Amino acid sequence: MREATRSADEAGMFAAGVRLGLDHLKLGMWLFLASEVMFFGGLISAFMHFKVNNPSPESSLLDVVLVGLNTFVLLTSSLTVVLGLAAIQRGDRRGLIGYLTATILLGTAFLVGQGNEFATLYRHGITLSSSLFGSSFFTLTGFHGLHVLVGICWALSTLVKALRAGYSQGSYLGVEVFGLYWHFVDIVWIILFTLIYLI
Amino acid sequence: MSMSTEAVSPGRGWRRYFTWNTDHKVIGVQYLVTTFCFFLIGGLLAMLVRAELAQPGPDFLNGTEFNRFLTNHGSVMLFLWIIPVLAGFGNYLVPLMIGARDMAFPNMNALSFWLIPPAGLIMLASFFVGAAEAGWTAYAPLSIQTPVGQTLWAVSVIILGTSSLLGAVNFVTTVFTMRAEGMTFWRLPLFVWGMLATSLLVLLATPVLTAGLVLIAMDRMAGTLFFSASNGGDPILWQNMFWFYSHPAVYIMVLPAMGIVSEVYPVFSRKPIFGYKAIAMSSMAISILGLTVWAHHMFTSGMDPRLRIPYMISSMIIAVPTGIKIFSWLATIWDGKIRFTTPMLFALGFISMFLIGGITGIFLAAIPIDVHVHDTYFVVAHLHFVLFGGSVSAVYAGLYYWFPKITGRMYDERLGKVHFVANFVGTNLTYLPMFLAGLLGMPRRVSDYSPEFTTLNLLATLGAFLLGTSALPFIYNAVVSWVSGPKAAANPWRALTLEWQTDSPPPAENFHQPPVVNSGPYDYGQPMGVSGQAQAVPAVGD
Amino acid sequence: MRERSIFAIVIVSMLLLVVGYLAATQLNLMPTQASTRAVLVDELFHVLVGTAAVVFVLVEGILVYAALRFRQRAGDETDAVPIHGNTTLELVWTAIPAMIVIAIGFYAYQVLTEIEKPAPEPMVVEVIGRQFIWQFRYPGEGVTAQELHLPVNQPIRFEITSGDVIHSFWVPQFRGKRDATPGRVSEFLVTPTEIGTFPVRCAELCGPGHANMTTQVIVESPADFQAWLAGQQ
Repeated sequence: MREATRSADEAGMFAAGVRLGLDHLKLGMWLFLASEVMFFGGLISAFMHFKVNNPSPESSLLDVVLVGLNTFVLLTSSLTVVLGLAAIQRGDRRGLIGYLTATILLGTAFLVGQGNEFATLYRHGITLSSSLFGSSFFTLTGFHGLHVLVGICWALSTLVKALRAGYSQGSYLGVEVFGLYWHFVDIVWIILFTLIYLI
Repeated sequence: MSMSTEAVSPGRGWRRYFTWNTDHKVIGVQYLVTTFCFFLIGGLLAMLVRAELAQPGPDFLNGTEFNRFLTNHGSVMLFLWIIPVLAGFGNYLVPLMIGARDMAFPNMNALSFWLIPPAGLIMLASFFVGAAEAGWTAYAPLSIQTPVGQTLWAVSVIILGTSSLLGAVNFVTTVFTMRAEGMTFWRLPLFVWGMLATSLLVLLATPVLTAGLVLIAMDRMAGTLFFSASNGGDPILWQNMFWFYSHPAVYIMVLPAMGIVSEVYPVFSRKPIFGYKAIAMSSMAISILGLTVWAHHMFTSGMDPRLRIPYMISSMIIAVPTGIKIFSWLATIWDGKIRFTTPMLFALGFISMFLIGGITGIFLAAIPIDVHVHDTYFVVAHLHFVLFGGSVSAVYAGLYYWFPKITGRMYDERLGKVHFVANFVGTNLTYLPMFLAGLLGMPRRVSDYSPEFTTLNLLATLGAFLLGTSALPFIYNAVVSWVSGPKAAANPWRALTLEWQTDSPPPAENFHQPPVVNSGPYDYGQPMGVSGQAQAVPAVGD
Repeated sequence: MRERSIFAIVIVSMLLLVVGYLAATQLNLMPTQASTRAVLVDELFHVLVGTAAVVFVLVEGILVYAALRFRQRAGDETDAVPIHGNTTLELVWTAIPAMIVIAIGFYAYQVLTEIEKPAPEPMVVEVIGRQFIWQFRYPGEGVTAQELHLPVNQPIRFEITSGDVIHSFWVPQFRGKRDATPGRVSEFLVTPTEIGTFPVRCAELCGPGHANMTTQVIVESPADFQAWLAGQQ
């Protein structure tokens, strides 16, 4: 990509027209993700502040095994995104469609799992307003869940585009940028899983 | 790749300013005009506040009304005026200055702007349901108890933060990927460096405020307990999240302003900027240091005493890069051939008043003094010298300087000078007495005060009304000159940066031919500089 | 000749700066000193005012001088002599301010340590801020008052908290304030040194009645204080 930009320059062509290509969408995405890191950084700080200073016995109600399974589901979805990208880079659009579908299913499964966990906690009387643990736990995991939901919608639109023959061996930027977002959401979950459930 | 062709809307005439237009110049003007309207609203609120404070005792506002005007004065001025007006300059100028056709993401650019009017309306509409009254700092738990307008306020600020964030993504991407041939980083105009440093701050700091506002909104609407002390919640948590953004926000409001004056000094001194790299790197240093000082707003909060020392030191160290800039500007005008145009006057006024804001910042960083003057009128004076004497002066300098470029017409110099004098006198008359009031014991954000402060407050109120009036010659000048001022040449100031090497106003897509850059932006007094930063000839055959 | 005039300017401005520094440190910008910490804080303040005056005069002086001296001559459309920088000069104006702020930081740290040094046997007074009144409790005495009485020259440890939103306990004549935050107790050390009546103000916006959340502190002789205490019981 970098090479393409430079050679466009050397051709003395008008910057914008040529450069409004691959590079800057990815750079923009990285910058946006940097800001997302800070957003989750803020919410995680709040959660950890209360976890350290107001330890709650309610955290023992968390089911590490089930959520661990759910984590595995989400991680698998990152793998399917990687495989989907690899497929379209080979020119295999059917592969891309298959892997995107798998990603959407895995993402949905994760959300179902999270919904199930929320329902269980709710039955034990833990809600947003029951305690600081409830407030910070549901806010943090809820905002992550929202990001997964946005990712699923994005995956759906990528899938629709793929079904309409939208990507090809030479043109797969949309998949790549979606992949950046999806991996980011997964990495955030790994951090949350560690901080909330493991330590 | 085909985006660029879709991106340029063909609209012409004044109507295009009321549409979803993706031309960065249209968006720039939309930003400048809209935010100036909010500036007038914020100014009116300030004058109401000052009128109430002209003498002690309750006059015409009760405590609640006073707090609402005060809160919205601060919020409008910061979130709807200074931050977005500088983004407006960025929008108009960054692509021109780096020789690009437009911003990297034109549609997202339009979105950044169009988030602002609704957010502003939400904030102001909250007056009908009980506006926010917890100060622009919205300290919890007060901000959890106040009426529903506080929720609207939080929503409005979240939207404005998002607008600012999208803008920052756009600026950084544009500067990194869209520079014209030969426009290396060391040839970027200093305004572009300022926008770059600011954008990095916006990217890293704004989301933390958003997270904090989400927690406030959740406490208010979903019954969470984050800031409810009786349930173990922690009001100090909000202060940390708030100041993690809001201190860097001061640099967000100052770095592009410093960029603007750095454009003005060389042009009107006919001399290269002194210490270009030092100024550029100082912007980056302020940006990075700016992320490490936020807790100096919390020295009286009862925070861990040991933590205060590093914050005091880092806050004081910021004076060093700031000093580098001030001395470099002085060296720039030294031995120059200075022309006192209106923009130059405002730029010189910037140094003289920003300096007062900067020096008093050292007082505030010194903890033993801070615990006396914190939350007093001393702080009010300090921040207004930085943001009004500093940023707003620079904004005016920029508005006059680029007026011929943006409108294609010249403004009236005489009215401009009247404006400058009234503004300069008004600023000092308003804010200098406040230092003394604060030192002598007047807390800030009070609707009433002890009679011993009457004289100082009366002076400040007179100054505020002079300031308010000083906007009138500007408005008249801007409107009349835009409609019927004398036509401006492409480069009336004989400036060397790229935005002056094209028509006034620039054509769609900015340049008739792709510019090729082969010299620095401020090479005055050198043979190379004569033809400007751009050779308006495409590099043929290479 | 030119060199001599530069020399003269330097000498005169140095003299002016020294005089300015001394004059500025004599400026009385603070209220009455009514506590031990006030003396130390004011010393620091005066050193800062002096330093600030020097920096202010220097920068504004150069600004005004340059603006007057280097005006464009009528009809002169040429550029000035190009100078892009001067490494020595730039190092100087980086290093000197850095040294000044580090020195100020060090001095401020010393003052801070001194004014926060715990006294051996402080009297404890609990301060509770509520919308929009102050309450003062004297533990062990069973006294709660809305007016603060303190014996002179007695080290006091205020234990400050709030019953609702954040307030800030401030006696300007004592030179210091501490926030009253719900859910936590903050300490604030003061030794009053002047007999007299001083205002207590709330310094943190706490609602519609913020401006009127005031009371007074009456510093009195130990005997008067004991008499007041007995009268309250």
